[in-house]
Amino acid sequence: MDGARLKLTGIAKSFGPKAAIRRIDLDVAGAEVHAVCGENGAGKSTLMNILAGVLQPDAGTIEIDGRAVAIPDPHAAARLGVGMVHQHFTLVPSLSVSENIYLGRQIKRFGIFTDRRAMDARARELIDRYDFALDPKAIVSDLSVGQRQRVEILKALAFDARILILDEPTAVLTPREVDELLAVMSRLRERGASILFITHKLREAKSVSQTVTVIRDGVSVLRMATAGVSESDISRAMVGRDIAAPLRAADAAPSGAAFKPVLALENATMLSAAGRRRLDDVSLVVHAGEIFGVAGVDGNGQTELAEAVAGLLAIQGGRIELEGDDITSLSPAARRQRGLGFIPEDRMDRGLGLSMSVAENIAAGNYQRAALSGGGLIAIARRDAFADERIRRFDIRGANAATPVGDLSGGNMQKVVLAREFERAPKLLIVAQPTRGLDVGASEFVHCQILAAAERGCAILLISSELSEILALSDRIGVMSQGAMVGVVERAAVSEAEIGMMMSGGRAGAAAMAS
Amino acid sequence: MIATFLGLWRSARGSLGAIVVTLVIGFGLVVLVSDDPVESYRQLLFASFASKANFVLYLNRATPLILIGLGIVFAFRAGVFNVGGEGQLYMGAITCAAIGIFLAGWPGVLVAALCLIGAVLAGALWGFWPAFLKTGLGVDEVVTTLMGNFVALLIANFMVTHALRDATAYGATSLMLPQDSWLPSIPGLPNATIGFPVALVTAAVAWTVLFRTEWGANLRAAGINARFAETIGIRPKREIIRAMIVSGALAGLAGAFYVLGVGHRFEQNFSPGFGLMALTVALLARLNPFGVVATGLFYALMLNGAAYMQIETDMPRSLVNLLTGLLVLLMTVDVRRRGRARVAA
Repeated sequence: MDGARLKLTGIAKSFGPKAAIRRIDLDVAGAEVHAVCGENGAGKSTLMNILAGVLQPDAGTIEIDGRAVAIPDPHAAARLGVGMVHQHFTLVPSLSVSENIYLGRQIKRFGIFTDRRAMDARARELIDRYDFALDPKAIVSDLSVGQRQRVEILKALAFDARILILDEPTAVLTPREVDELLAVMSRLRERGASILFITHKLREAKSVSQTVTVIRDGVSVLRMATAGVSESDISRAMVGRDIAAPLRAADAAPSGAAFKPVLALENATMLSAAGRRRLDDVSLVVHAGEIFGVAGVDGNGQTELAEAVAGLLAIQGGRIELEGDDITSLSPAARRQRGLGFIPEDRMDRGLGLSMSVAENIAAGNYQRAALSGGGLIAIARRDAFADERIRRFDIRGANAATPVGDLSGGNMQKVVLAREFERAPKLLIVAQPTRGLDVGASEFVHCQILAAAERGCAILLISSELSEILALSDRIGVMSQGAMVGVVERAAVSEAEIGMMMSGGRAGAAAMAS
Repeated sequence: MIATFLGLWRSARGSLGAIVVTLVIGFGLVVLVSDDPVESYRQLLFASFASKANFVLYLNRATPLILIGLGIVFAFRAGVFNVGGEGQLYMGAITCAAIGIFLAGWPGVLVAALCLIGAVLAGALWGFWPAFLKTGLGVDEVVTTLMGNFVALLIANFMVTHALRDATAYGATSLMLPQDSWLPSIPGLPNATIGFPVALVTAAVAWTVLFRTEWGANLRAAGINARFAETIGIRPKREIIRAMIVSGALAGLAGAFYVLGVGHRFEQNFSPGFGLMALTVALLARLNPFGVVATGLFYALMLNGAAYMQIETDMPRSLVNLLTGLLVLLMTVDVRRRGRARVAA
């Protein structure tokens, strides 16, 4: 068939002197999931905004069903059957699902009154057709993130979109919701939709797409059937060089006298207000120079574990020791004084003051240590020089000392957190979900930094829901399920499948494995 | 150095633009209403500088606006919506008057010092308790500080009518404070409270504390994101309490300056709503202490000039309410435009 459903040729777009896209070709044959991969800033979002009619290309042609088209505005895109699902939702939280789907094009009775019943019925029909398990009358603010995303998708489908653009849809989802979304995408394809799936997560691209296009620096550098490429092929095309996935050597953990315990938890138990055990009798020891990985499906007590050690949440039972001293009742500040560093899982929430400058964020908590202030007064020149040095060393891009941290990309924000916490030369480092939302290049950098810290003798508690990350970096692995540590194993002695079984099976799974 | 000035200019540009546009639109309104628009506007803008006496009144109105505004900057920077400036001002003023009257006969310098200390402490107390309730029990500070205003006004009213009342004067007015405890005037400007230069110095100190000390950095971190602050070892609750104490103390000081330097007694209606106006002053200044001096002076100019305009011409003073409302509107417009520009870039 000559008529590709969507064909882009030689698309280019500049913002002032900066070329966001230089030359992109893309064609989507028919009903398929077409993954568009690229690092942050490669031009993926610009491309999709061109397709959605938000931006106009400087050069190149767009053909839909073999006809050259112009997409001057989002309404034109909708008429052409192009629907866009943005990364950040555009729903009204106080309205119902059906009202959101038909927002701006409500079904009217007598031309005035909104016909709520008809809208609910039509929404119900739509939901059933795609098997979405939603209640059209539910209020959006009551829905989970994954459900809201499905409403967003339905909004596009209600317009009879045949080409659906999903802009990094998995970034906001939990692993389980990701799996559900991938299943939804496959269903949509079976019903004849073409899906442009923008992502930098290779595993997702690989598992759901039929074709993959890789964009690097505004140029489409690779287009292949997904079945014919490996994840490392894709990542090489994305970054433009071989990614040496940093790996912890099997014998890297120190032994003998150097192997002394730094962090010890004894029967740590944390109760929720309702009496549920958020941490259930957790005991573990992390030694100097050792990386202890904590695996588990999100929401099984990992956040509580990290915050209990950092001193941000109190435990109701058990004790926490740092280098043999009981720190159970110490404040976060006192724990940091004793050499604790913390890279929190949500950098926008706990990690950074977004409207404060890069320099202020890096210097926060380091003023005394790095002699940036004297007699209470901050030496601004010294603080900025201090920040500039870290910006260079940690390769924080697009930043100077005065840039508000909130203006940086996710990867560069994470580097600011690393720069601040590593400055403390911590004896114990809690690292939670360090590469969440980061692209391949930034992830590699973060992993190298974690390994280097362990080399220096820092004890590291690494918490991640990415099993591959845990397996690549850890010396020992603990698996959490429903707040409990269901098993601790040597990395060398265990396979990914076995850990997966412990994660899902809880204690029973662990016991089955032990026998 | 040049970069610092450029930065200051860039942050002030929007506010200055809004003020200019407000005045231009305001002039259009005056042309519509007044028989002599130029004279009306001249009175509004320049009568405050026409005589020494007018200028003194102007400075005395600017002083509380700047001081309370600076306090509100501290509270807001720590993330606390302090709308209790009026109450903190009244607590300061009535405490100052009470100390001065009860200690009549003591050496003047000592009385003045005790008056100032008492007023600062009373204002600080009126900032402290809402902060304590907020951090301890999670009580919303908007409610407590707002309600605190009424409580403070009633306490002051009770004190002045039952204990301090000057029976020979009309209305709720206290006895005069002994003359030797009055604060000196600004040299060359009789009756202009020395509080004005103190307010200017306070602004510089406030800026230094907020942006050049570790404490200021911690306080702002707590205000921007309490969970972040907690993570890096700052105690957000402590910062909130400290900021509110400073906030109340500065408003209390403003009250003392009025009693010791302007009125020399407590009058129940001495404030035309300085506390609430200072809230606008602080917000229009984008929570920058130097900005507070500028917006405080501008607000005082409007407040003061309006009286002369009403006396001398046919323009009613309510024009000023219109102008200040317009100003707030234009400042918000500016913020949005900037937000959009950033998205495009």
